[in-house]
Amino acid sequence: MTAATEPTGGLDAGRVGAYLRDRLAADSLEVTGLKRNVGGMSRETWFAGVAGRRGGADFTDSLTIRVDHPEGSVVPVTLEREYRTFAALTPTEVPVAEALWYEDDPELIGRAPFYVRRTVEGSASAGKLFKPGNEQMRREIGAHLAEHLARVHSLDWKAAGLGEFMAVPQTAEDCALLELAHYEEAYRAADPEPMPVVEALFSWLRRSVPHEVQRTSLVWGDVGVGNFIYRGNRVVALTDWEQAHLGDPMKDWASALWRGVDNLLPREEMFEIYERVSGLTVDEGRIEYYSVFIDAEYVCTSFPLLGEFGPDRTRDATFARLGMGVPYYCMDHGLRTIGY
Amino acid sequence: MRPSSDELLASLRYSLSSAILPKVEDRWARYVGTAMDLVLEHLQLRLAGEGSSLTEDSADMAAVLAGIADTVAVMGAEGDDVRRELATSLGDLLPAPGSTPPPGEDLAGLTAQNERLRAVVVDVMRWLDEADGRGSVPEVADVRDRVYRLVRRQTDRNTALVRPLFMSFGPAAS
Repeated sequence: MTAATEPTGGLDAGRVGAYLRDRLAADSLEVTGLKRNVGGMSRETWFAGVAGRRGGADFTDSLTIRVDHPEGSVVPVTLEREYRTFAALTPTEVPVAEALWYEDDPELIGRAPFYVRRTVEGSASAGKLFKPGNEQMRREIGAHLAEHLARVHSLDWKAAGLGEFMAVPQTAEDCALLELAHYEEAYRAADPEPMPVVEALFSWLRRSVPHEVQRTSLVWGDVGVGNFIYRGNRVVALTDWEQAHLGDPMKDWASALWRGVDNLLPREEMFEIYERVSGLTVDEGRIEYYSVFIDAEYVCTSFPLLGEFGPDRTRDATFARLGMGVPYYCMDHGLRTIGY
Repeated sequence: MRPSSDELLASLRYSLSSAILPKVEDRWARYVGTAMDLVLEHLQLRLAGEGSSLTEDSADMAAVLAGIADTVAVMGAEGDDVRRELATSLGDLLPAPGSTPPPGEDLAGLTAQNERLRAVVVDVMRWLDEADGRGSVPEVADVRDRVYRLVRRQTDRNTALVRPLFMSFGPAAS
């Protein structure tokens, strides 16, 4: 059995190959590998390696296919919006995988919608990064990540067209409250069991909303080890843009620290690089606010998964773990951060 | 009946981790298998502690709500117009003394009673947010603090059962 015909448990390699042959204008094309990414649970991510002939010459390519779970996405953000974010960022100084095609025809590969981007060569593995002996590599990657974060936050998002499909905050408070309303709506739509702790976090976030923001920026939304591609000691692409929005750049620092990027390089050193490159000033108070926000956001995206379980339906164990392990961790963490 | 449920779960975890997972080469399948093992560990804790945790939690909520009812009574009797109005609106949300039906004897009954009480606590929390609009009232701040401390205790009870499943997304070294 060749790699191209192995059962993949979700995507049909033959249909994917036929689709990519047409899209890549190839005379012939074989899918040499089709593997589902382990990790990142918001959507399915598939890596497709292809080899073929085009115009009389051999070629190979590596592509990434993003598709919602059959039951929908974990995040309350459409796949099309995620694609548009990649497409808008592709020509900018923010390094992302090149967005290629967004498709909504289920006949193409048997699932829809989906989009394709070119796979960036490198690794997102935290395991490799944190192997003993890689201390200097981690420091350099941490520094480079801080530089990239500065570029994300300095980006002219209007010129990039991001304001055309992302809500534009009109006030400092909007930077938090627009997103909070979006995630709270998704949480309530799932009709969860009464959860006083979640109400406590929502309430605190509304009552404690920052009244100042230095700059309304593009916010990456999910910053952390595992959400960027590195090659050697350089960060070559930023990934996981599904929670991107316009808002307070300190939210990204909250996300980054929540996910432990200061294990790469001490936070003070990362802040110094970031402030020098971006011209922005790090505000620890707002970072703490957004740390609680990140907790609430993860609750809103993960807790509704439990509604997928019932007497006449079930999901696999990874969803049970995600639906309980993430939100209950975040409830505990968020409550501690607000002093309880 | 032997083996007990807990012993059977331990057996499943043992088989999964000793005989199956080491043979699984596909990374996704191994990831799923690891999740199964953690869910089984959670089930062991839940089987042992869910009933008593629900009973304790419901008693805690009932006691806190009764304490808030006492505060409401004082606010209504001795407060100014704002306090009297707040006391009336909050009092409407609280269960009348003795009105809470006894829990069923099984887990479903305990869960149903617990969810009813949690719904009342949620209503009180929404009332607190609305009450903020009436200005700074020390009794409101005191009720909020009591409710938030209750929420902390509830979270600790849940954490004791769910901790094996915790996911933080931090790197392994953090």
